[in-house]
Amino acid sequence: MTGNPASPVTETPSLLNIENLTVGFRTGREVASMPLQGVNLRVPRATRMSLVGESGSGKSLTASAVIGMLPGGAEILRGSIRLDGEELIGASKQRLRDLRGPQIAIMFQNPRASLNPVLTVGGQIAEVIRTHSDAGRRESHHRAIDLLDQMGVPDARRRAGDYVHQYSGGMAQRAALAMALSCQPDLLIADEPTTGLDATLQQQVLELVVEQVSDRGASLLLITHDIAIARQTCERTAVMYAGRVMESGPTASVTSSPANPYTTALLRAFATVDEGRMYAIPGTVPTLLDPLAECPFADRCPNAAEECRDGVPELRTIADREVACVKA
Amino acid sequence: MTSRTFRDRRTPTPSQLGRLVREVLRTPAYLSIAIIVLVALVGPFLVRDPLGFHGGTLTAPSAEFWFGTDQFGRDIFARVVHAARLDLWVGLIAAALAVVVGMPLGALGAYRGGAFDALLLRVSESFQAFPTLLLALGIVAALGPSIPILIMVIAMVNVPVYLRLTRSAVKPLVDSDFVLAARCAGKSQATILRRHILPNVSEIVFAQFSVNVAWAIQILAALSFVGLGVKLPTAEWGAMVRDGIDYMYYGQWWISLFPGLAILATVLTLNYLSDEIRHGERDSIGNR
Amino acid sequence: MREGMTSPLLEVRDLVKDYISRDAKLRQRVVRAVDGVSFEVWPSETFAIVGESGSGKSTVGRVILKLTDATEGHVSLLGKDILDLGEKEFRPMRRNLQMVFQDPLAAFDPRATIRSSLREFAEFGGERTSAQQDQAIDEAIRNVGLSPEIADRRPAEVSGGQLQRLSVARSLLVEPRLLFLDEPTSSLDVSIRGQIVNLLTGLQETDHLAFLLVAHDLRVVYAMAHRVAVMYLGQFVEVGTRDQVYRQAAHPYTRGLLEAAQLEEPGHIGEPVRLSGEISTDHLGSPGCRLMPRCPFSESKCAEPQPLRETRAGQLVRCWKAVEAPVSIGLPEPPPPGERS
Repeated sequence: MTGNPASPVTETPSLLNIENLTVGFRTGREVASMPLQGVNLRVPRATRMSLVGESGSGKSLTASAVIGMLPGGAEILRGSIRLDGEELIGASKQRLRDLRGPQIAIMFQNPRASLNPVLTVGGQIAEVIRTHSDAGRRESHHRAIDLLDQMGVPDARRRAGDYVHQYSGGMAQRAALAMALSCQPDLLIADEPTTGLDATLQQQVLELVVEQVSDRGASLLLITHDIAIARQTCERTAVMYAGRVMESGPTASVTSSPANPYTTALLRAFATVDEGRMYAIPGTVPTLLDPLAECPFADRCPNAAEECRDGVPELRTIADREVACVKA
Repeated sequence: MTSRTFRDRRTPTPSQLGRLVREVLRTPAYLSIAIIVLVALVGPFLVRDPLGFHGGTLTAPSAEFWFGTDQFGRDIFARVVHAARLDLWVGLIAAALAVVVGMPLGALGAYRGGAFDALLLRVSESFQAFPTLLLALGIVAALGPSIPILIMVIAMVNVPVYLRLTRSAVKPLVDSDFVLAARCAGKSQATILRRHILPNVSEIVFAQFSVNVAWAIQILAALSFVGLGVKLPTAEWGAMVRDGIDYMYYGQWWISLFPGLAILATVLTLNYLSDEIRHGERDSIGNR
Repeated sequence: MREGMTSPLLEVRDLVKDYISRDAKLRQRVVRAVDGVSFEVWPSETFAIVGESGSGKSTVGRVILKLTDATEGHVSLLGKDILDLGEKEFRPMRRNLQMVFQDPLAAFDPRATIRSSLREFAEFGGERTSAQQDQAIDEAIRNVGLSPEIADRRPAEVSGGQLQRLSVARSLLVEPRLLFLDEPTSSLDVSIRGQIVNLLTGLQETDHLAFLLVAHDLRVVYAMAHRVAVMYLGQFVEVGTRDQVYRQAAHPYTRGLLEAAQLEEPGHIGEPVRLSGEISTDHLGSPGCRLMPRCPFSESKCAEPQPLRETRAGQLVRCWKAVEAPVSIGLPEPPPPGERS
């Protein structure tokens, strides 16, 4: 094992800097499981970054930790999350509330989760605008309608007065995006924003997200299980597995010449293959009840060797990316 | 993401039985109901004759007569204990009868749908359109009060409750994948109902059962209170409350108070028990 | 496989299924979920239906398994018309036709052990003794690559991938001829999907099973299917061999789906098609092309009824432009009629 810690390679300071983030679930006083075990992730300014992983990899939990909304029972055991240099772990609830909106915003897989069913869509977007700016009632409503219009909601003036259940799936996700972008956040976290949508619609929504985020000079952290989506939308990609980042770098090079065997396996699982066969990674995802003692992928890895069992590989900088594999 | 914990719900082996009993008794609801049932079962053998004259009339609670005596010199404590057996029995049998009739009907209605389901719903709605107590009163007034008739009447007014409860619990299961799978396996409607649907709604129904026993006891007590229930001098909580009500004005509060408290305690305990059953259900399903 | 077979295993003709639904104002509305669908499935063949949710593809399978009633049409299984059969008469025929569900956790009774769920299938027809049932269950579990001890657990105690294997094992206990696979991989993780696909194609080879596959994951369909039908709002808009549909897609909807799926291979012909808007039952009543509101090539003639027409041998398309004026919608010129087989 090389003791080389993750050394920063970015010239400019990152917008979001997650270091050694470790999250556990407690039952009583004991830590019953540790779904995140030392996540290291940096999102530079004005960059679209995807966080790719299977279920159980910890990608959504990482996002929850960033916005300070961990599920019940979960607790940050170690690590640091800095947004624009400001430490978020241990920040007051009030401070986190102030940050949500103007600094970080999130959109979820189910758009109806972020929109209140008993308020009109336009009304609640306007309300968020009023909370975080000195805009008046009339102006905030105009801005809400403008936003919906920019997100491609047809007839936005009229639709702003509708309730979310009157929106179709695709329209609701557009409205959720309008809501998330209403306070000009520096970082938009999108947690599987298109997973519930059909393929043709998925593409429309992803393109919209990319366009809007880029136009505003904001950063995007896109959480997805689909590496094809990462390739379509993001400049940088980090691959997560078993509560750790396995590989991180420019999307093009990560997906064309993966350095971590897990990335290779994941890419192969997504490739179209003939002859009635699809590539499958043997075995199953490990259950993270205890701290890892070896590479979490070692049991399923075709290249596994003795040294893979000597400890958890740290992220090392190799050429244009960071890789957590001793054999890379 | 979260590690799943699974409760083992297989049939307990004898060695596990002791642990189960301890587990159950740790919960206050189960403990209180166990005490009430014990009083009803064993109590009558340990106390005085509930109909006998035991000394002075209208004596206040004392070391000798814990709950005092009534206008005929009967021991109120003995009467409350004896009445526990009667009230619990009537409540239990009535609620059980209601389950036995209502649950299969409701399940069948939900499963078959169509005209049969619609007819069941209309009939049960028309029953529920009357205030329960008024309906029971009317029927008892027409048929004359006796214990079997009381049980029948209380059961009858409770059938629609089970029918609708079971129906609404079964409805989402009818199109569930595991029921479709059983159909693919060539199972008949009756088999599917028995093996897959009823076991999956049983906990909901049992939670309601406990509430309904309480409700049945209340109806019985209410009927007796207005003189259409258990005939005097049989010990019954509602009838005893009625008995003592006139004496309240003269400061002899104990005649009505103790049977009243018995009704309150039993009803509260049964409701509490129902909550416990429901919580247990949520925990075990929540882990799926 | 198809050669030498004189008749298909399953034949579906002009199948129609209506649902009665209520809109937001509780007005009754008839939704035609399946509108005149015809196809057949041959032994050892995988026939796939692809489409977005709301296209009616799962309903087709459920009607064929008689889990829901058809409104009109004919379905014949091994030459016998089954739509008019009552449940009792059909029950012995269920042996030929089984189903694998999308969510394996929902497909098992949460209260029953895996073994007792499997036993329901092992006791089909009452031919096996209890000991033989256990033996068959153990064998079926080994057959899908698991060890029989797993049968003593309950569904929630088994991983999704394992449970889906058990679901396959369960349906095979009655020795069916045709399996309806309803999105068999979409509730599973990417790394597990391949395991299920390979298991199924392996079983097809050894047991000569036929599959009716319904899926929206075009990668899975590509790996499994021999012939593919593309469904949109209750109708097939394109039917052909797998390679025809993936490489020579003619209908704008098929091309839009392929474009959106971003497959690495195979490259399909013609210019990429971008569909706007989203699927909506509002477009169901249209007598003409239902994709019209979303299609970049639509013009007035598209509002006329569009029959399924042949473009190449065995490839059917419900789009007049694809047949008559392929170049106008960014497709290459079709081969001259003489080259059609």
